[in-house]
Amino acid sequence: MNSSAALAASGLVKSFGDSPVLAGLDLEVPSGSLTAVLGPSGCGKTTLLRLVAGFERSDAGTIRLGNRVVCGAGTHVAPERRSVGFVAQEGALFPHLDVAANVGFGLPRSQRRGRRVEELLELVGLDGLAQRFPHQLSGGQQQRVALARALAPSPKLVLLDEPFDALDAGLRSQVRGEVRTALREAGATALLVTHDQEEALSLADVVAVMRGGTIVQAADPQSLYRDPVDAEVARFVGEAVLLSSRLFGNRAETPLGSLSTRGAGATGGVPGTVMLRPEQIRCREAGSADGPRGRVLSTEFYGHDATARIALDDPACPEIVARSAGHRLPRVGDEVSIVVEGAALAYPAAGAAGDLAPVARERDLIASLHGKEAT
Amino acid sequence: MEAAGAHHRGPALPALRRWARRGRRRPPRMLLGLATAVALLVLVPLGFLVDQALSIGWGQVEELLFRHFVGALLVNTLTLMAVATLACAVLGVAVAWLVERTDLPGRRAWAVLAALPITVPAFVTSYSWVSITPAVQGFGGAAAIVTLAYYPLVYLPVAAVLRGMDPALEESARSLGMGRWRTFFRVTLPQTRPALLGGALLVAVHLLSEYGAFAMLRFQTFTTAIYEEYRVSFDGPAASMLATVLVLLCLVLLVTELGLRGRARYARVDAGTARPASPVRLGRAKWPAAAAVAALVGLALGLPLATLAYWVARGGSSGFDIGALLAACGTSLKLGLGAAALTTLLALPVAVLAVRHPSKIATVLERAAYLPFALPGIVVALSLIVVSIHYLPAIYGTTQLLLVAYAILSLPLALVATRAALAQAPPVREEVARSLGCRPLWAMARVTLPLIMPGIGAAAALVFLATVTELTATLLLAPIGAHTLATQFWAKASTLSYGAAAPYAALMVAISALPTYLLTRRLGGVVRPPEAR
Repeated sequence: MNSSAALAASGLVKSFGDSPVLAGLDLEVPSGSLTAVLGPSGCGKTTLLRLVAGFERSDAGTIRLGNRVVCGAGTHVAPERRSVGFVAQEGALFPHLDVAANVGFGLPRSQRRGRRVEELLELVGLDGLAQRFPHQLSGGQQQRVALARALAPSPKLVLLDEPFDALDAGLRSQVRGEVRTALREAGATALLVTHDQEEALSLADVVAVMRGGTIVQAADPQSLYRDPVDAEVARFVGEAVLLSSRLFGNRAETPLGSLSTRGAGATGGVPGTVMLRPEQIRCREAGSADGPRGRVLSTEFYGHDATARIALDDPACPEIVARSAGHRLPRVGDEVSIVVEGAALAYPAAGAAGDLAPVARERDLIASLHGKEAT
Repeated sequence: MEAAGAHHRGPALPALRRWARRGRRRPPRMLLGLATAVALLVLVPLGFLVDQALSIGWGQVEELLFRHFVGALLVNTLTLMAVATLACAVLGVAVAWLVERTDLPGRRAWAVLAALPITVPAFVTSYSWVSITPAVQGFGGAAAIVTLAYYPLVYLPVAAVLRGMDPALEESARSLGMGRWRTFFRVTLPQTRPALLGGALLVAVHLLSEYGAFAMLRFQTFTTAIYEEYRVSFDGPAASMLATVLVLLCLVLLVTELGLRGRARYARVDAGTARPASPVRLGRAKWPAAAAVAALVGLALGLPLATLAYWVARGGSSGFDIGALLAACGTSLKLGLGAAALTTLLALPVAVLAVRHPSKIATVLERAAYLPFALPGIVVALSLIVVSIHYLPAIYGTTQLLLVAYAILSLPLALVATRAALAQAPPVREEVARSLGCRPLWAMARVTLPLIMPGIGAAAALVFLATVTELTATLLLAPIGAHTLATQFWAKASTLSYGAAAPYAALMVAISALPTYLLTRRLGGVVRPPEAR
């Protein structure tokens, strides 16, 4: 077990009645890191946090905080003895206490109005608001007070349960930045759960993708985006274009032609899936490049960049999405040629996303086409 | 390595999941024990009635129940209940509609004044009428006077619904071609139905339990008959058999009320109506309508208060014992505060169990705690007397026993207020407090208790009010030599010393005015605490 992990959970199992929520989950949070658990709503993220905080008991598995087992066979350390801070979804400030009293809540009585509270308020950029009451604060300010309150007793780990969810979209990225800065300056180790992949990628040092009650991949944001372990993770973390293919070593035959691949090598025309990010797909004026041709179905313009949905002339090929700089956006109805930049990520069928129905259907279609070629 | 079934869970329902999760948490044993003890205490009167019925045997039960006297009582009680409840319903809805939905002159003032008769106990209203003319004694007078005393129980909830109702409903009806009256009967009235039925049932239960007013008006119902039987034969089975019938009648009403309340929750209108309704123009009916409301308020509130003032002035001239008045006042205050403290203390574990640890057993215990809603004061008093004489003679005739009776009687009031406050203080704050190092009870004391303090205060005020104006149980259970404002008033009034009785009633009304004021201010103001968004 990694000795520098602030939190190490292994084999966590938890179900509520007949519905399993955590199914043997393993997770490590390195000391000093901000780790995000990313998963769709209802995947069990919040349950994981509540187990770590000690609000719930696990059915099986162990949780270590540093070197101390807080949850394991026959052991359940009460939440108040874990030294784990908790920032709830909507802050959950104590409405009957002012900001200073909220922040000082977890401190020994002698420090509740002292220097430490001021320090923490400075840390989250709220100095001067000590006498305000929670209802006099904006949503973002409330979240920052909640963070200061959680950091006050210098916990070994801070848990954040979708802390930006209740904020307006405009405010969200700003508060996110402020929270990240505060956590860094405090040198705190934090575990955040979210369903927002943009949030997880932009904020965290390590992103752990959760699915079906387990962590399917944990990596730094770049690696996760570049090398998702399977097609489903690829689609969940950023946009992905998935193509059924036959894999030949570091090349693959795909509806977009023969592409170079990386990832799990498979030879001899093994069926599989390759993944491309939309920004690897370029649209050129029809005929100006060799790639397959298609027609632009629709476009979405975001200012800094834009995406185009394209139907290829080859009817067997699924619609694909290409991303380009905003000013190079083709028009709807344009005929374009497709060029692929960089290598595609290959997933051999055996280990690839087993229950991706559309991909499976495409794969069957491709297989039948190849069959025709063979005859 | 995924667990079987993990794929089939589909889109989760987080709310449902959370609910299930909370349901699974086992309630602390101490809490469960306390709540069970409270529920058992409440069940003492019912247990007593069942025990009595079993011990005297069917033959005697038959003999005691199936006689002409009981039949006459049943007819008396039920006809009066039906007539007065109906009258309260009509009056309550009419006043509520006039005050909330029309351009009635002075509607703001009338809205407050029309609710105030609730602060004058029905036995004081009856006394003031009887002191003017004995002609009000009998069925007609009794029905009219209890209607004047209890119509606010319908008026208040119906007015609240009308105030919160979306004006778009009525406007849509009008735009669909309905006239003013058809709109009222087909749209407005159905909206108020849960509140109206709930209020009417409350009136009916009060009428079944009422003793003082009917005794004063010389109209015999089950309650007055039980009291007389008790006076005659102390521990007799006749009184307890009559009490059984009375409790059965009340339980029927309670079950009906519970059913209606369940549905009323779904019918509740969203509180935040952006647009105030444009009032219905009364036109030429404006001044006659105002006169009618003024007459009602005059009869229900003005007349009792004026009579009291008159008798106080008269009695003052003939000289009364100010020392006795102050002593009775002190006793009433002490009992009121004691009952408020004891009852809120008893309500707290039941409320915490019901809100924080919902389960089958919690539901059963909570329902049991609501039972006294259907237990008339006379039944509770009677059962406590007999049970204490048989099993705990040391507490018979003590203040403690009286306080227990008050606590049983007003437990539902305290429970409603405490529970509502707790439900608005979600457990997440306690969890945060625990993650900051607080032990469970300490987290509750530092975080949740301050948040539900207004609710507990309301509970205490309600219990205090009910206790200070309680007559029946106090008459039966007050320790020898302990006189409250209510019992002193009763002693004087029933010997026709109206002047000597008046100061006690006046002081009683004055004392109950303060908590009433606090309660209405609270209900009228911000109902929700400022909540972190």
